[in-house]
Amino acid sequence: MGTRKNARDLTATEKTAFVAAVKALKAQAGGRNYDWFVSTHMQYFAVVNSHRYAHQSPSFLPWHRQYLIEFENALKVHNPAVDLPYWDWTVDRTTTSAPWTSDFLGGNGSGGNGPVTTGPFAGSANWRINVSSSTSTSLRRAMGGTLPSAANVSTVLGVSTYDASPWNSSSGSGMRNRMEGWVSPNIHNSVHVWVGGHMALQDSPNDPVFWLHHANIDRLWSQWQTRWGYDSTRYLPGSGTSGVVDLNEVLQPFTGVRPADVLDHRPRYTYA
Amino acid sequence: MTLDRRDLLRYGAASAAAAATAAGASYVTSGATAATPAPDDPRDFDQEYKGKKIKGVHDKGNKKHKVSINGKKLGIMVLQVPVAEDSRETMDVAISALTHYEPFPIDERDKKDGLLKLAKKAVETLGDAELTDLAGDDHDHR
Ligand SMILES: [Cu+2]
Repeated sequence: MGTRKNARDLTATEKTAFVAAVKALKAQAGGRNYDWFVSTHMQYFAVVNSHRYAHQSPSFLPWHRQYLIEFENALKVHNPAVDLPYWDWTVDRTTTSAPWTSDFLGGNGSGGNGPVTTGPFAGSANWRINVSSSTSTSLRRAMGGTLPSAANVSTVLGVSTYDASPWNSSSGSGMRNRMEGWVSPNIHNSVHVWVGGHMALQDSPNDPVFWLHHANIDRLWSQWQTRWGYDSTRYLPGSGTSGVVDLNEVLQPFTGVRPADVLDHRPRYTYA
Repeated sequence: MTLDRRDLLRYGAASAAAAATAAGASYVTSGATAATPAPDDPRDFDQEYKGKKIKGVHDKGNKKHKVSINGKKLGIMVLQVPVAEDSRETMDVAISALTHYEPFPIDERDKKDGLLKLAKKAVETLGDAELTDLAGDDHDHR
């Protein structure tokens, strides 16, 4: 079982190992390499087979949970000791705090929206962007704006109903749409916008911080589950909702994996 | 009635759709509305912003708005979001391949410049880069 740690608590060795595994996955020829994960995220932002799997739907949380598990497993092929870290932006809120240090993910883009100039992902020779809506081949960031606060998070975790009809971006009640961010207090979306650069694009996984941000979103869902229940009745909708991934429908493209299969993550990993 | 290039494209698409229906495809087309070209939308824009040419064409009926930056297509997706927490009332917002997590409210009244604001933010995000072909994906293909 793995333990996902806060990025600010990683040892120097753990940081180096994570960066090396991410780069090995990027360099991997064929298979589910790093760019496969970028392409898959782009493809599943759209409606696929009349379903919204990854975004603007109840399956936003379980789809990304499985996506992270697959990514973590792909890293473990290169180094079994690596676990995904998370970035708690309610605590580390500046452009120079964790994880933006030169020994880990590097800092802001030059001039506010240009290429990253520090750390192991600076410049296309170190980290080449291959699949993107932008012609920039080097990673960009444009940090600024407002990050969600601890109070915002606590409000969302207090919403006991998982999600609500019509099960998309227009759901006014329920926890999921607040967490995803199409309704106030907007947790997940606002962090993508705050980092800016590639994190603002449909190909946001090009920035390795994507995984740390989504690990934190997954950790918050786990806290919600601890409070309100891990059992399958807590996930909504249960069944019979067309165009929406019900409890026992497959989370494409993850063959055979349903929301019911990922609700209890504790045998696989926990958060420290 | 004069036909501009956009109208011709529209008629072309309508006849292609009619042919597809005749061939047994099962989707519904609105051939009747396609026969009457819509007047230019007063919200449309064609201007330069921070050194890039931005063009926006609104589609009032189907909300399939079009934006290009330096002639390259930027995929737009219109969503409905609640006007407030716990509200069942919704409003239209637009996101794009470049402003993917940042909805811009859009309507024909006080939010009529939503698409222009989105295009400007996309230009700022691009900086000295340009759009690729991948940016043109519509997101609502089945
Ligand atoms: Cu995200």
